[in-house]
Amino acid sequence: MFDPTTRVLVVDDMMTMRKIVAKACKDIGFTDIVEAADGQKAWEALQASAPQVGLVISDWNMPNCTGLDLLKRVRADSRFNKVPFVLLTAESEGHQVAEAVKSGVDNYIVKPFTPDLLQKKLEETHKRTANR
Amino acid sequence: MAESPSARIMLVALEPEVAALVEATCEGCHFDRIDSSADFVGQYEKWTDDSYHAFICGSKIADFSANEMAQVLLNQCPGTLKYFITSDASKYEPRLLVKNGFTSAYAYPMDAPLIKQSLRENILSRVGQRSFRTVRVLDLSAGDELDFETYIYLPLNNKYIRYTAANTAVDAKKLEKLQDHEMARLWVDHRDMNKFYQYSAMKLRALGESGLSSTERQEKLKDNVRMLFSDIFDQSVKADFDQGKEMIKQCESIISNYVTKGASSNWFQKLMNAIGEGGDTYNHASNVATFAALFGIGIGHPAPEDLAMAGLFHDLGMNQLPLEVQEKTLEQMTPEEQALYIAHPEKSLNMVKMKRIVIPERVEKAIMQHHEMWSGKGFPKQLPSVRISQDAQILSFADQFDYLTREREGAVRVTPLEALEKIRKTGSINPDLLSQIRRLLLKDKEAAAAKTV
Repeated sequence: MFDPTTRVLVVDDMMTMRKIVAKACKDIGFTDIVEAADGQKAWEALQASAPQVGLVISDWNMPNCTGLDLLKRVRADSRFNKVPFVLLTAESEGHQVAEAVKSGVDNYIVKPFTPDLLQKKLEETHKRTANR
Repeated sequence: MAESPSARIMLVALEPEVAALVEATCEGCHFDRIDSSADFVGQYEKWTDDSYHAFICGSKIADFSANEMAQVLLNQCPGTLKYFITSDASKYEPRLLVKNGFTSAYAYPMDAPLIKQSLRENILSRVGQRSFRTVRVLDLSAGDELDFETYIYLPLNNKYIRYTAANTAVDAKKLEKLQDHEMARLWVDHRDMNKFYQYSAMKLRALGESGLSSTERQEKLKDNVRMLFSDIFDQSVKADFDQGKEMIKQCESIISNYVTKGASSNWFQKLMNAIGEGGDTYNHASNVATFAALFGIGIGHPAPEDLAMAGLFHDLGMNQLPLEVQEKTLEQMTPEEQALYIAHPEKSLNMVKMKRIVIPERVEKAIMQHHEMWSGKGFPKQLPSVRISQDAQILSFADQFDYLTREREGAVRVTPLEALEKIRKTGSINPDLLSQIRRLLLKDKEAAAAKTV
């Protein structure tokens, strides 16, 4: 599993959902959690963050810069292209997921989720990305 | 005395008139209320599926989006009913609200009957309160056994009393009483509706296959179909409970059971799910399927299931037309738009094939020809009457019939017989078929009079 001190960036335009995800991360054991209200702010946070963000959990549907847009930006930048990236979506849409996989997403979680499911998905993600 | 169970309901940001409707429908329930985003944010963390039987949310809090409410509630209480009701329906898209987590989304006051029904059946029933639906029990005779209970409603006492027990033969005397009583309608517990649909479909099939002479058999079928139509279009009991809509839903379920012969794989339902994303086209398709099959049964068509299938698919191709074109009449369209519109029967067929659904040849024909006219002035091929299939004619009638009899913005909804006369004037349908269908649309007494003429 991820080191609990890994900095987690939680991105969601809905404040309450952001809090729910952040709290679930805290319940799992993460101690360093930062939040951003959309893809653009998340991008700024990624660049300014010290220590570097070690895991991104982002909502899919957001105004301005969507989760997918953010993912593409992250993967296109050599500074962040190895950062584990998990997308949250309201429903699993086959073709969308395919596009996200092509763009380099490491996992996705369909809402609603419990802290247990989040933990399971993050463990999977860690296994997939640990050797990068 | 044991306290009767009551449901706990959280009302979030409901407009006063919507809250009044909910409170009146769920009288005796325990209500909590939240009317600000700060209260919502302050409380959501402690909610679980055990907190409430239902959340009923509205649009009164301007700074908190309905989708956010939906997502939060979905995450905190995935197993709890979550409704969204607003009088400001133009600002919300029901499909999106449901995608984000609401169980259902309704517009007030348009959906008031549906809201009440849903609250009664989904919330009150969870705490042991029963909910009944009025039905037409087809061809009930003394000695029949129903596998569900039926009830009579006493409006003065607001009580339902049991009329027949399940799996017990119907008593001749009781039946006589019911038939004597003009107001008598039967009611069925909503949880038994599937049994009722199966029974009705079985009854229709049994009539079709009975040992009666073919004339008698057809007369009986006709009588039953006529009763179903008179219920669908019975304006006298409309009031605030839109019985017409409810009855057509019931008919759709009966037809779905009928055409699939009670088989475990319900292809009708599967096809309905396959065709669409909901909305108007979907309702139109299922209405036309139901009407076409009912007309078919009523006039002795050998395969009403094919008519139902054709009804489901006949307008699939319309989805490919821009919305603004779909709303125009043929005369209002530009030549390019007309060309698109005229191609829709073929597009419908292509889409069926694309979905890899195999359909009988007669269904293909019905879809391709449902805009051909008996006068020879239809499209796409302007076929002369002798080359138009009867299935296509029944489908065409059902299509026009649904269009004319349903509520549309800016148009007066017409009665079934007025619709038939309007259709007659178009010259699109074989006059013989029109006479046969006319007999199905007459009220019982008129039909009896017509028989003696």
